[in-house]
Parts: sequence; C-alpha cells; structure tokens
Amino acid sequence: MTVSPTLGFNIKTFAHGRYTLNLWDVGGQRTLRPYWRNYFEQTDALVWVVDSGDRMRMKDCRDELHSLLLEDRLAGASLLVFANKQDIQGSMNDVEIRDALDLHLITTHHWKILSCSAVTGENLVAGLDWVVNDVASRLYYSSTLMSTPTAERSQRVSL
Amino acid sequence: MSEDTAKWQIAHSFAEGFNATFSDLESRISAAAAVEPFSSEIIQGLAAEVAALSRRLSDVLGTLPSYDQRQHEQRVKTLEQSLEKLRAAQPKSKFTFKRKANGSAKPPSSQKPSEPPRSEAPSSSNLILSSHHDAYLGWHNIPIATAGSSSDATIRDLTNCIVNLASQTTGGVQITALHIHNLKNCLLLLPDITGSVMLHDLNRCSIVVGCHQFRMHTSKDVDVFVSISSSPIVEGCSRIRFCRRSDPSSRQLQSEPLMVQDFSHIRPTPSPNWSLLPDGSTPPDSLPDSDMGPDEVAKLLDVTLPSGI
Repeated sequence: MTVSPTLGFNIKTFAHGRYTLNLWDVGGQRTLRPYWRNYFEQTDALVWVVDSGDRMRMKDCRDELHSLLLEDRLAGASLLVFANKQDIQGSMNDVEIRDALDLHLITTHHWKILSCSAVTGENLVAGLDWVVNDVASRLYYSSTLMSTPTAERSQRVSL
Repeated sequence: MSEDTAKWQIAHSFAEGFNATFSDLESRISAAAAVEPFSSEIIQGLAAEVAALSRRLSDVLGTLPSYDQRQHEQRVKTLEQSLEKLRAAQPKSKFTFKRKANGSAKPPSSQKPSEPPRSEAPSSSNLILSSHHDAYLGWHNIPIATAGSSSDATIRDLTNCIVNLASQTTGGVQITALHIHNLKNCLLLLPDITGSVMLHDLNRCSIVVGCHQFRMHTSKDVDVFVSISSSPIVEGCSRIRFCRRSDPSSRQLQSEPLMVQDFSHIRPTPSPNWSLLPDGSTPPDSLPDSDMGPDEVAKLLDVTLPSGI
C-alpha cells in the first residue's frame, strides 16, 4: 500500500457495516479548495485529515476548517477530525491538535477527533464507525453520503 | 381539477411566498443602506438570505410558467445588484481569501461562536535558517531554541548558499516537517525528514533529501535528488528534474522509477514541467565538512547547479 496526497478528486463507494458510504475524497491543496463547494450538497459527514507532523500549517488548517463550517450546505454534517501521521515521532497528539484547531468552539456540528495513521491504519475503522453511527442517529435511511475534504496537506486515507 | 389549474395554483402560492420575502429583503437592504457605516455583518446576513431566495427559485425551476420565472429572476437580480452597491460602498477591509458564509439562513449573530479567535496557534518552527547570502551554512548557523529530539524546521531567504545539514552529528535533531521558501542559487544537502517537505519559490537550486512526502510550488530550474516512499508533487513549476536517490536504509522499493505528479497539469499527456535526470546522475553529496569561503562556494555552485535558461 502506498499513501499519497490526493491529486484532484477520488470517488469511492463501499459498504461499512449495514451502510453504503459514498466517499468524495477531495484534494486539499490551495488551488483545489474553491472546488470543494461542488461537493457540499447532501453531505452527511465531513472527514478532515490533518498532518500532525506539521505545526507550521496548523493556523491555516484551523482557519480553513472554521470557515468551511459556516457553509450552510454542510449544516448538521458530522465532523470527524483525523490527526494523521501519528506514525511520525514528534507529531502533535490529538489533544494538541484539538486545541490548535479550536475544536471546542464548534457548536454547530457534532465533532470528534481521533489520532490516526494512514500508514499503519491506526484508528481508521474506529473513525468510520463513529461517523457512521453519528450520522445514523440522525437519519432513518441506510444510505449515507460523505465527503472528505482532506486538510491542506490533502492526505488521502487509503483504506 | 385540470392539470393547468394545479400548475397555476402552485405558481400562485409560490409567487405569494416569494414576493413576501422579496419585499422584506428589499426594505431591509434599503434600511441597511441608510445607516452608515455599513455593517459588513448585516450585509453578509442579507446576502445569505438573497442567496437562499435564489435557491428557492431554482428549486422550482421548470414548474413555473416562463413569465413568472422571468419576473422572479429579475427580482432576485435587483436584490443582488443593490447588495453589490452596498458592498462596493463599504470601507475596504484587508484582502483575505476567506470564504463568505453565503446562503446561511441563520442570523449572523448565531454564527459568532464558530468564528475562529485571533489567538496564536503553534505556527512557528523551532529550527530556522534564514537570510544568508554567499555562504556555506551548517547546523552551527541554526539557533536551536529548544533542545528537543524532534522538531519541524524552516529554511528561507537564501541566495548563493550551500546548506549542509546532511551530517547529523552536530544536529542530532529529527526533523518532522520541513518548509523551504524563497531560495536562489542554492545547494541543499538535507537529512532524512520523517514527514513532509514543502517548498515554495525556488530558483536554480539543487536539493538532496529523503522524506515521506515532497511538494514543490512555484519554482523553476531545480534538480531534486530524493529518496521517497510516495510520489513527489509539483505545482506551478517548470524545468524541475528529479532523480531517485539510493537510500542505504531503504524500507521501500527504490528501484521503481519516480512517478512525479504535476498538480497544474491534470491531463493524460506527460507534464512538460518536470523530467527525470538520466540514470547514473549522482547527487553532489560529497562536501568538505570544513568551512568554505565565498569564492569556493561560488565556484562549487557554478558547476553543480542546473544551468537554467
């Protein structure tokens, strides 16, 4: 398995438990961000992937996330923040990331942060479990749509 | 009830609601225009409601008689124009790329809690090498603020320099992420970076590095000797040459050719912005550990760096 940043956009559909997930994996680099808005319609959950090894981009990451959450088509979407790259020694942990991104200020969305590593696979399934259950507790139907603008480092979580 | 009657009734009840909202917005926009200075918060809130009205219209598109549709569209346009005038008359604020909260049906006050506060998030790195020219630079040029075992690092604003951080003996610090900005005519020998290397605005440089991710923006005439387990990425670059560097402590398959991705050339054709250096190209990695004078630095750069155009 190789893990790389997202070039453009990937779309994947797969089954997770009793649910079918449609995943829009959208690249996070600056030039692609204006296109994110094309993916907001009917989004039930947002997975925000953060490079925990890069302290210098946390402020940009925080600003981008908070301005994204103002988007009304994302109102009510569950937010899962993945503190990625925990395999790198010296990375910020989930508590540090939570504080750096001011997650406690988010009152408009259900949110959760989990440390993870796209390389080792740590917590990837646990994260999806949370997202699916959180969305399911709000919806009655069994097909959910998700989109994953991955933070500016645009780390694709390859499953 | 005939189909036409049903259609007419739908159009009629839609028009009723639509016009009520229109009049409400119209009067609130003129009220906002009467109070100076214009509050950007109020304007944004109004813009959101106008956008919502416009969406309401597009949702029923096709079910309305075309005359009604044109009328409604005209009214939305009127609102947008008067808002635009208000916006233009606003005092200019600092230009940022912040996205507007368009289309939010909530009053602006309820959005306040999610405004990011102005507190400083950790955004600076511990290791910084910056603002040198015509020099041979090493670990001793980097003030080490906190003696941690790992840190991120920044290298910026160098001209005609050789940077030799490859020997870990003096540093001993594991770099988790490296940012490089604004280098001209430089040769960089870097240690293995456990995370990502981000580079912006390099001009005529050679870089030797090992890392997990490599992303280069707005640079030209750069030779990159890299050992890497993912695909290097370039964006807004030209004349970048890559060479896979053999890595003795290699965990990954190093024999595969490098697959560089050009984010500004998303087409099936090969990108014209990068190429592979011919097989057997060797990185300039044997430097004297001792200090070099400016003349020696200039001489070495002259024979090492890409020629440029």
